[in-house]
Formats: sequence, C-alpha cells, structure tokens
Amino acid sequence: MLGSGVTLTSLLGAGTLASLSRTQVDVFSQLYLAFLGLGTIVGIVVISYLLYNAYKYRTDAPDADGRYDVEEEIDDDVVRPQLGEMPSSAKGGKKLFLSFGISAVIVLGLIIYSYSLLLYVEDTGDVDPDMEVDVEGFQFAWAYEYDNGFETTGELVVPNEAVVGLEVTSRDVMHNYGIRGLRAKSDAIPGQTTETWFQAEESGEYQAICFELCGNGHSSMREDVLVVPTNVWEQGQEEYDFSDPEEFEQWYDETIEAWENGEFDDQLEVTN
Amino acid sequence: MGDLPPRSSVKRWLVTTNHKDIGILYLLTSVFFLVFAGALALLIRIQMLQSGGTILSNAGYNQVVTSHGFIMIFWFLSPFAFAFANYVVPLQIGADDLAFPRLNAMSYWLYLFSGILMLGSFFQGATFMGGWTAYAPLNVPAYIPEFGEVGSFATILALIAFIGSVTIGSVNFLTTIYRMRAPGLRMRDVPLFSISVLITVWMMLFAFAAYLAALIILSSDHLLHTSYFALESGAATDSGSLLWTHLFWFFGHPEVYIVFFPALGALAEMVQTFSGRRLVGRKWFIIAMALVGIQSFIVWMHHMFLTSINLEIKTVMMVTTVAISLPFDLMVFSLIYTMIKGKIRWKTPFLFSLGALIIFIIGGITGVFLGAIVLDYSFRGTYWVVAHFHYVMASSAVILIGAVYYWYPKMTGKMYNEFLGKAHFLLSFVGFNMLYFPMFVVWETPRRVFHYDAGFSTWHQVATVGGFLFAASFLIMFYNLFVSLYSDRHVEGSPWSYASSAEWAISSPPPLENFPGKPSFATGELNFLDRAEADGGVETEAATDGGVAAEGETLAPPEEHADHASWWPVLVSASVVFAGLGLSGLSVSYAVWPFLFAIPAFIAAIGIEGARQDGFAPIHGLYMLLSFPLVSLLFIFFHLHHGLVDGLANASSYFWVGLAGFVWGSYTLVGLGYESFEVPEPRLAEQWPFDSVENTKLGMWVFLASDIIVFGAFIGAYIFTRFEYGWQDWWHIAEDPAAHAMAEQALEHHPILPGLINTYLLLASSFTVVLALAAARHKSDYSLGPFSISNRHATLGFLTLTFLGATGFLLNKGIEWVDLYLHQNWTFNVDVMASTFYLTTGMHGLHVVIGMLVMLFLIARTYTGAYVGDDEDAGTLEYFGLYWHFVDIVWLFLFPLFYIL
Repeated sequence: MLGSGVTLTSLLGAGTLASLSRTQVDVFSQLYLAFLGLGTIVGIVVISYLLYNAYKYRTDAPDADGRYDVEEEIDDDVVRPQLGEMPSSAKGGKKLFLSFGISAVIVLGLIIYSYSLLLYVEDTGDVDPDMEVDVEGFQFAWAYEYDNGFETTGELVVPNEAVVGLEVTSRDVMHNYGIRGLRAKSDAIPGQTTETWFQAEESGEYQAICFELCGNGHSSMREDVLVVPTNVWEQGQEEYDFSDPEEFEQWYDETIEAWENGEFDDQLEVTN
Repeated sequence: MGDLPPRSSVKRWLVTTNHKDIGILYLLTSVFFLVFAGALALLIRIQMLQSGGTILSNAGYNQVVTSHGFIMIFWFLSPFAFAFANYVVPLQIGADDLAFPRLNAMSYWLYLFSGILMLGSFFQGATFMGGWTAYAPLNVPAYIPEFGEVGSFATILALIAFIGSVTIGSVNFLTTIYRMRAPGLRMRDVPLFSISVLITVWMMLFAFAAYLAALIILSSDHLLHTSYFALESGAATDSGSLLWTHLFWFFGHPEVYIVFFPALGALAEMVQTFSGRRLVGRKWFIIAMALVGIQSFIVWMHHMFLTSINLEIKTVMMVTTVAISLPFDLMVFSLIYTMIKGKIRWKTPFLFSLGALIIFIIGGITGVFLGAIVLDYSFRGTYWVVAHFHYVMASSAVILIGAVYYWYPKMTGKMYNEFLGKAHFLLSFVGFNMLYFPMFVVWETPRRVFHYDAGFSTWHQVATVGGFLFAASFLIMFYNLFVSLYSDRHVEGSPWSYASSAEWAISSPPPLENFPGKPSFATGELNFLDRAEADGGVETEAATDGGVAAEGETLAPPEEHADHASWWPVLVSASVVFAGLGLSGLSVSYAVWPFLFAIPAFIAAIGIEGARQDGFAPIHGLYMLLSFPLVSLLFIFFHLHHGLVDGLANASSYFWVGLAGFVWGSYTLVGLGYESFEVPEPRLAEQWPFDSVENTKLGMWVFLASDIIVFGAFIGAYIFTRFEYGWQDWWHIAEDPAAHAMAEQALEHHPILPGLINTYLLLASSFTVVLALAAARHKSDYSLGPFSISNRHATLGFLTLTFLGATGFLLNKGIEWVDLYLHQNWTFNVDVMASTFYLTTGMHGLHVVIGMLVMLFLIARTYTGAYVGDDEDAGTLEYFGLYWHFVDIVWLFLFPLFYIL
C-alpha cells in the first residue's frame, strides 16, 4: 500500500483529479437512451407492420358447412398449401433478405457504437484512479479495505468527483457488488479478483447492493455508500493524516456520526 | 409384450409404448407441472406486493424462486413441447411410431419420476435454494443450511434423472427422423415442426451432456465430499465458481433455444395454416434455425461479462451473441411476410401465434440491449434480465398453448369452443403483458430480492395483478378443453383449411397404427400404399431396442406383429425415485454400498430372468451361484469398514431405500434386456444420410456422441482447474505438505506404471471384442488340425477374454487406489488434484463396470444360442463393441492427462 498516501494527498493538494470526460453513469445513460430510442422505433414499426398485415389479409368468410374453418379456395396468383403436398416456399425471398439486411445494419451499427463505449469503460479501469478500494463480499455484507490500510465492514465513504477504482472479490460464495446510482458493478468471486470503477458527480447517499443470489440474507444485502462533498474530504485531509489508517479511522468515525446525525443533510445532493 | 388394453383402462397408460399415448401422458404431466410452478410464481408475486415481502421467509423465498425456475424450464417447457413432438413428429414424417418405442416410454417415466423426486425434495426439509443457475459454491453442503442439505441433493439427483430422460429421448427422435421418413420425404421436405424438433434434439444431446457432467461433479461434492467447488475446510476453491459458470452456461444458453425451437416450429406451421399461404423463405428459415442451433454453443460467456474473463473473450462473445439475433430477425420477417396475401382466419391458435410473435419481438429487442456489454454491466442481476427472458421463454409457452388448440382436434377428434378459446387468449395476453412489462419499467429492482425501493411498489403490484389474470386465463382453457371432450363437435381429418402436413390427412384421433396404408411421398404428394404390396412378400427386417428378437418370424405385415405394451419402462424408471431418495440422505461412509450391493443382484437377475426367458442352462445356475460369494465378499468388506452388526444397525433409512432402489433397478434392467419386443424397421423409408446404418447402431452412435461431451466436460473441467492452479504446479501442490490441512495428506508418489498397464489391458480387450464379433458372424466352426472349436464357443471365449481384461483393469486400478487413498492418505477431498483425479478416472471406471455387467448379459445370451450363426443377428455384439471401443478411447485421453503430463 505504498504510495497510497500520495494518491490521497494529491486529491487535496494540487486538485489533480483524474479528469474523465464521461463517468460510467454518462456512458450508460447515453447508450441506454440510444438503444431505447431505436429499440422502441424498431419495435413499433415491426409490430405495427405485423398487425397491419394480419388485419389486412384476414378473411371474413364464414366457416364452411359442417366444418370449423373456411372453404378452401384456389387462386390464380397465390399458391396455397394443400393437404399432403411436399412443403415448399412461397415467393418473397428478396424482400426477406432486404429486411434481414436492414436489421443487420441496425444491429451491427448499435454494436460497433456500444463497443467503442465498452473500450472506453474498460480502458479507464487501467488508468490510475485517484483512490483504490478493495471490496470483499461475504454473507451478507461488504468488507472494504482502503489503500491506506483502513478496513471497515460499514459504509464506504469516498469523496465526490474522485475516480474510485474497486478490486472486488469474495470471502465465501459468489456475490455481485453493484452501486446502482453510480453504475459500478462487478462479480465478487471467491478466488478471483475483478475490477471496476466509478466517479460520482453528485455527493450523496448511494447503495451497494448484492446482485447475485448468495444465500438466505441475500434479499437484504445492501449497505450505504456515502459520497461526501469534496470540501468535507479536503477538510478532513487538513485535520488528519489520511495516509495513517488510524487517523483516517478517526475521521471516518466522526464523518459517519455526523452523517447519521443529519449534519450533511443540506450538503448531499442525492439520496438513492 | 403384446397388445394394448383399451384407453379406458389404467393399465393401458402404464404399459403403453405408443407415441400418441406417450404424447398425451407428456402433455398432462407437463400441464400439472405448469400449474405447480405457476402457483410458485404467484407466491413470488404475492411476496413482491410490498418491499420486504409479505408471506415468505428468506429461505422460503429462495426456495420458491429456485424451484419455479427449475420446474418451469425442465419439467414444464421442454416436456410440454415434447408432448407435441411425440404425438406429431411420427405422423408428420409418415412413421408408425418412434424408432425405439420402449425407450420412448422410458423417457416419459423417467421424466415423471424425476419430477416426483423433485417435488419430494420440498418435504425433505427444504428444496434447493441457490437459484436455478445453482452457482458454486452456494450449491455445496458447506454453504447450504443444514435443514436444506438433503432436499438440495435430492433436487440435483432429480435433475440427473431428468437428463437421463432427455438423452434417451434425443437418441430416439434423431434416429426416428433420420431413418423412418416416408419414401420420397427428403430431409429438406420434413415439415417445419419436425425439423425444429430435430434441431432441438441435436442441441439437447450435447447441451444436456455438459450439464450432466456438471451435475455429476456437483453430486460428487455432495456425496463423496470431493472438492471441486469447496475444500474440506469449507473455503471455496479458486477455480470452482468460474468452472461452474462455464459448465452451466455452456448448457444454459443452448437450453433457452431448446425450449424455444419446438415452439418456433409449431408457430411456423400455425402461421402457414391460418394464413393459407406457404411459408416465405422456408429454406432460409430452416437454415437460420440450424445456424442458431450451432451458434448457441459459442455464446455462453455473455452470461459472465462481469466475471474475470478478459476483454478479448468478451468481445468475441459479444459478436457471436449479437450475431445470433440476426437469424431470428430473418425468421420473424419470414413469418410476417407469410401473412401477406393470405386468407387469414383469426382462430384461437392464430391469435396465440400473433400474440406470441409480438411478445417475442419485444423479448428479442430487449435481448439486444443485453448483448451490448456496457448495458449488460448495469442490467446484470436486475429485473431487466427477468423481464427479457420471460418475454422470450414464456413466449414459447404462449405459442405452445396455441399449439394445444391447434392439435387438440387431432388428438381428441373433438373441436374446442372457439369463443372460450378467444376469451382465454385475450385474458392471457393482457395478463402476460401486465405481468412482465412493468418489470422493464422498474428494472432496477435486483433479481431474486424482495427488498426493493419503495417507489417501485406500485409497478410490482400491477405485475402481481397481471400474474393473477394470466393464471386465471388458464382456468378458461382447462374448462374449455375438458367440456369440449364431451361435446358433439366431431372432427374428421382436418378441421383446418390449408393444413398441409401428413397428420391432417388421417382420421382424428389417429388409429393405433397411424396410417391407413404405407404413407409415401414418392409421387411428389402424400398417398397411402397398400401395406402388403409395400412390404411385399419380403421378410421384414426386425429391429429391437436393446431387447432380443423373437425367433421364427412370420411374414405377416408389420402392423400385425409390432408390440406395443411393456411393463418394463415404468418399472425400471420407478427405481429412480428410490435410488435418488436414498442417495440424497446417505452419509459419505455409506455412499458406495447401495451401488456395490446392486452388482450381485444384477448378476443373479441375469441368471433368474435368463432361465425364465431362454430356458434353464448351466450358465444361469452359475450366475445365481456366483452372486452368493460376491455378496459374502461385499459383506466382509462392509464388516471391515463399518462392522457388520453396527453398520447395518446404524444405517439410516435412506440407506435401505437407496439399496432397494438400486437392487430394483438392476432387476428391472435385466428384465427389460430379456424382454422380446418387436419393432419392425420400415422396409421402405427415406433414410438419407443414414441409409446404411441400422436404427440401433445409429442410436448407439448418437448416444456415444453425447457421452463424448460428458467426458469432454470432465476433461475440460480438469484442464480448466489445472490452469487456474498453474499447469506445472499441479502435482507439486498435491505433493506439498504445506498446501494441506494436515501434512500427511500430501501425495508422496503417483506412479505411472498402473496406468500404463491398464492402457495395454484395455487396448487388448478392444481387440478381443472385435474377435468375438468376427466369431459370431463366422459361418462355420473353426478348426486347426485335429482341434476344432465351434463359432459359438469361440465367441464365448473372446467375450470372456474381454471380460477378464476389464477385470484386470479394475483390479489394477483397485490396487492403485488403495495405495493412493489408504496408504498415502490422499483421499477424495484433501485437495483439488485428488478430486479431479478420482472423479474423472472413476467415471471412466464406472463405464468399465457397466460394460462388464453388459458383457455378463451378453455371455449368458450367447451361451444359450443368441447372436451366433446364420439366423441370428450379431448386431447387439457390434453395438456393445462400439461402446467398449469408446471406453478405451476415453482412457487413451485420461492416461496422458492424469499420469504423464
């Protein structure tokens, strides 16, 4: 954990926040909107066209005498299925491939677009984050270890606007660590480590939820994540040596207490 | 054997092997499971009425969620589709029945009894509660609450029995569709529903084999306390979680197409019939389906985007996943274009088709969202996933409900009430969307959780109301179909206009023998040839499904000597309930005993049944006598292990139930083997591409193909685990005292020699089994100078040599295992290396043991005159030989992997 202090200090000192153009929230919202928009349009067009055809070509003819269906007719222009025939296709193959082509273009376009965003999200994971936290899931809560060595099974407290890297694993069974409002999510797998990151744009209360069935306490396995305003964090850094886990613990305990007493209520922007 | 009692008799339904009867049994049973799992779903919806739940405890909710998934997917959806497959496929392709009718009955009974085992698990403390995905290590005893351990294991065993049913069914349908088509019906001409079933069973054959391997590994962790997923200490292994997800999803993703494809085929038939227009791009529709079937095996890691797999693999999986949506686009458009210029009648089946198409389109589009990895990161484990897969998988249920209305007149000869049918559709369609669409709106609800944001509760309440509406709509259907059964709305051949496939060309319900004459498409359209003419005076080739051909065939037309009734399928399958129940509660020290004691029972049964069926011969007496020293030997071992008196006194009732199950299973299997059961192979049939392979041989090939996947999965699991621990470090870790809880558990040495000797022994036995077949087919006796030996004795001799080779293999392996296990204390659970070694080579050993038991049967049969000579069919020896070569080849892979590398 050498150098952890440096990272934390840099948060305060030079104000050199890793400036990212987009957070995970931005990426998700943008992509989700694109998919939702296109998906809705495609869905409406296809379903309308389906219903239109089903309605337009319906027959009003009554059931034939003594039968439960209409009389079979023989048209000149359309070859209709006949009992006992060898199956064969109707005409319309060209149109089929045209629509197939169009849908392929739409889908491939969406995928290429979303792939570029994936690369952005994955590459950012490799950039040095402002701070790193190790997350360990266990039945049924989260254990955090900050890079100054401080450990807690309580709330995760991080500064607003900092890029926080998470290394996630599990102590027992498989969990999935997700902070919903921040769009950070990663599987917590025993014996394996996964990575993700987040950057809060608004201070506030978020929730770290388990998204993988992990036993009887799974349903209520959620804990608060407290994103404190930058000034609160900076003030703490002035008063305490954040590279010392014990001093950091003092600040952490005071902050949690203040938060529980409602002292941050007017400063927090979001409660999730 | 023999004729069927009438349908009003209960006995008829127990002994029937007719595909139409079996289809109806499947239909009724699967609907029962639909109602059961539907009730579970309503419990979920009631629990979700408010955040924090209403009526279920944590453990209760997890059980309900888990069993709802298991039962809907395994015991409802697939069997529901296969009810139609059973009923309709032989009719569509012009076959009298499936290729192996008794095995078909066995598929059904295994399905039913596995379901009973599953339902029973609720009463064993608790059923499995780790989700239908059963992620490791939450699925092993270390992480299952004590009150749920027995029931959880019973659930796993029920799944294994279900896979038995599926595998037998797949072999049967593949053989049937390839080998029993009416003359003139080329593969490309097979109607769409049957084609979709064909593609489905191919997927089933391979996907379920991988799941079987995963479940056997899991069972071994439960029963033998191996440590694939968690070590003896309870700590998870580094590799176990990922290993399970790989094995599970390799099966799990094809599985969603497995439940969807038969429905898709039925949808195409219904759209075609009710549009009165041939399917547009039929060829491309089929190619698209086949493409999806293949591609479904290379998309599984999209369920694992948030695990530790790397970006390159994620990218590949993203591409394959998104690409798999394109063939579906083509199929949907093909269905829509088919309607153009149609004469569309909005009958109930068509309404369900239309509704299901709309549902499927929504499900498909929301699935593309999930294919985009960045979106998937956020959707993972949320209701978006829940809503999406219900829109796709339940759309297959909606189609199949339509199929019930479509084929109901064919199955019963009566027409349902159209008004009630439409009312059912309306209520179910509204209910369905009210149930699942709100889940998209509040998709941020975590999955399998009943604590959610208070703001979501209105939407969840709407969904609950929708769920009850959807459920209520089925009451209309049950009422409608039941009352219609007694109505006077009779149906002759086809109630539908523009129906084209062969099932509509015969009366409703079809007679036992299906067709009025031999169906043929040779002239380009269906007509029925005179049976006597079609089969001519030519002697009919008789095939048996594992049974024994009766001697002295007559030249009568096939329908007069086909057998339809057999008690054995239900009797054999029933043993699964007892064996499964027994195993579920066995402690590790008793684990192997029910199986071991079943071996002498099996040998005695060969003697007893053989004497009854073939007439007493000395060999039968020998078998009966042989079983006594074997039992005594086992008792001695049992005494050394447990102490005879104490051991039996302390044995739990699970032990006795398990013992009863295994002994019963041994006896009935022998009974099945000895039964004479005639299934004539059609003389005239379209059989491309398997013209030159008889049914049973094709069945054996297909079965072995699935067994290859089982072993492939075992070997894959080994390689995967070994890579996780470091390929080169593997044996060093096993030998490192520091890596073990107790230093003396470390492996001291792992000699190669026993494996090498065994390789030679098996190869030699492969050779002798070939010689046995050659001798059986030899026309005359062998003589060398003054010595002469009859070909029957030669066959017997070579079979016995093969048996001795296998015995040598097992003895050698026994010595090796005693050294490793007892002397070196390298037990099953000391480390992952031991677990993979014992289980993988043990699975192979089990194959050897099964092969030896079959050989004992073959030796007894050969002794009494079967297989050898001009008028006997040596086919059975050949099929066994295929199996035996396969067992040898597997060893050729295991030997280097576990001994040399």
